[in-house]
Amino acid sequence: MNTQNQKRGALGVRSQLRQKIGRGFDDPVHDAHATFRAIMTALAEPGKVRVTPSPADAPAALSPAMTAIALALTDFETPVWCDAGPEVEAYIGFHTGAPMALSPSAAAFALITRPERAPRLSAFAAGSLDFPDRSTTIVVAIDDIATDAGWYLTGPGVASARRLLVAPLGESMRTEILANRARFPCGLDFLFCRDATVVGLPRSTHIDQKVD
Amino acid sequence: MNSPGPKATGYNFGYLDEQTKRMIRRAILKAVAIPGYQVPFASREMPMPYGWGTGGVQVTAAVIGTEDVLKVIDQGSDDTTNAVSIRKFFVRTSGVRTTTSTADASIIQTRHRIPERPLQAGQIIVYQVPIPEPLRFLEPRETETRRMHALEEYGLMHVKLYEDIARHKTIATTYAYPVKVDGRYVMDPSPTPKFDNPKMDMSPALQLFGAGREKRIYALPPYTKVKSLDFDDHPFEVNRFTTPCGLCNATGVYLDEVILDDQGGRMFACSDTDHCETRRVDGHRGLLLGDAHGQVGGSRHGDD
Repeated sequence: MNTQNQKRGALGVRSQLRQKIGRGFDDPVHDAHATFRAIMTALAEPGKVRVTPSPADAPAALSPAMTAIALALTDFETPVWCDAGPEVEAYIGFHTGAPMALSPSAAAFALITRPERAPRLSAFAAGSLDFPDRSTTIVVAIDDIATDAGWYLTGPGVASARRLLVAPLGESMRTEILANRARFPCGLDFLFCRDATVVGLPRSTHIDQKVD
Repeated sequence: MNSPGPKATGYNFGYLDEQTKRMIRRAILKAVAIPGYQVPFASREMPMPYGWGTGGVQVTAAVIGTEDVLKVIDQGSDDTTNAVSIRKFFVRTSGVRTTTSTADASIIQTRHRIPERPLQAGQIIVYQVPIPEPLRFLEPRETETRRMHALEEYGLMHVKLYEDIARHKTIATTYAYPVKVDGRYVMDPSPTPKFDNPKMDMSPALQLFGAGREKRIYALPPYTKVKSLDFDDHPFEVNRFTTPCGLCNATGVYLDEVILDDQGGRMFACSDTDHCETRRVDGHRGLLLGDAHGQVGGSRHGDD
């Protein structure tokens, strides 16, 4: 009798959890791999649009691409800074075990869903000259990605200039992204996400705004 | 191309656990974003000794997926012990398809050569690296070499090349020839012959480097400028060979010397076995092939 009650109790807690926290990847090993390859090729060829898997049950505040990135790359070693609210924090905490960063500079990954209201990018970690890899990877939700307008990208990963328009970013973030390359090898790496697509903009990329 | 082989049970896909893969993948992303910079990573103990390509194996394991076709070469050859055992390792732990053909491969893990056939966009080449730090033999302290990279202080490397010229009248470094990546980091291209250095420059393929014992990963994104260090009056030059390949008659490729007898007999043959076999199938015949069938000396389809 007692055992029965305990079982029912445990099931009760689990069903509550299920209501609050959606499922992660359907196939954790291969979905995480597909996400990683999309991100790796996105950073290796800045400005090219890549498709990520779509976790079926992602929280409403995160796009499928941002959810996939969080599931594929974060864990107990990577503090996450996130502006998407407690539902997303619970989802990431449950599936990945990643702690929430207490400050932007402590974050290995930043998930920014409202770029116009984000903290200044200089608040995130840009690495040091000795260890430029100790920096925050900035994952930003945007509404529009266009590859036939906007910035001209050159540098590693770009054979001849490639174009990229990501919007909206907000004036302050836009300015700071344009200044990012000057800090090389320190700096931030960006992953712009819309639905289940991602575009990379690593710190190595030169951005030219020349007008058409 | 070989069909998926017999995959062993009891392993996660690609041998490594998922947390290890995430850690390596995060290091690879930093390496791609900072071309030529050596990213420290928590290299794991692998079921093979250091020096057998544990760094390359970990990078390949973190990158490989079910759709990939894997080629593994050791000094250009698909058929040497190191290449065969690493290929079998991935067949057993991931069940991926393997190939010896450079054109058919999506991931090429290599020890000390870059295939003669130009790599294509979308391909990934993974180098096994013994000593990733190009400045290590000039400055043994890690704290100092890290500072030198931070401050872009590479004078010592130029002094080393200059001393080569002073002593030998030419830059005597023939392998692991230092390169500068996109005008910033000096990088060790792994012990590939300097003959292969020009293939790294503006390559359409993604190049990943893994050093297991030294726990470093670095990378060259596609279309990255890779310049071999030199001087205006002593420009970088690749090795030249006076004879063509004895088997396929190829010129402009890297040749291995093969001792034929104890009377001083020798021949030179392509170090890239796939390139050599492809040429022989296409009807090219070297002087030493004699009456032999063109496809002698290896099968196009490996041994798995």
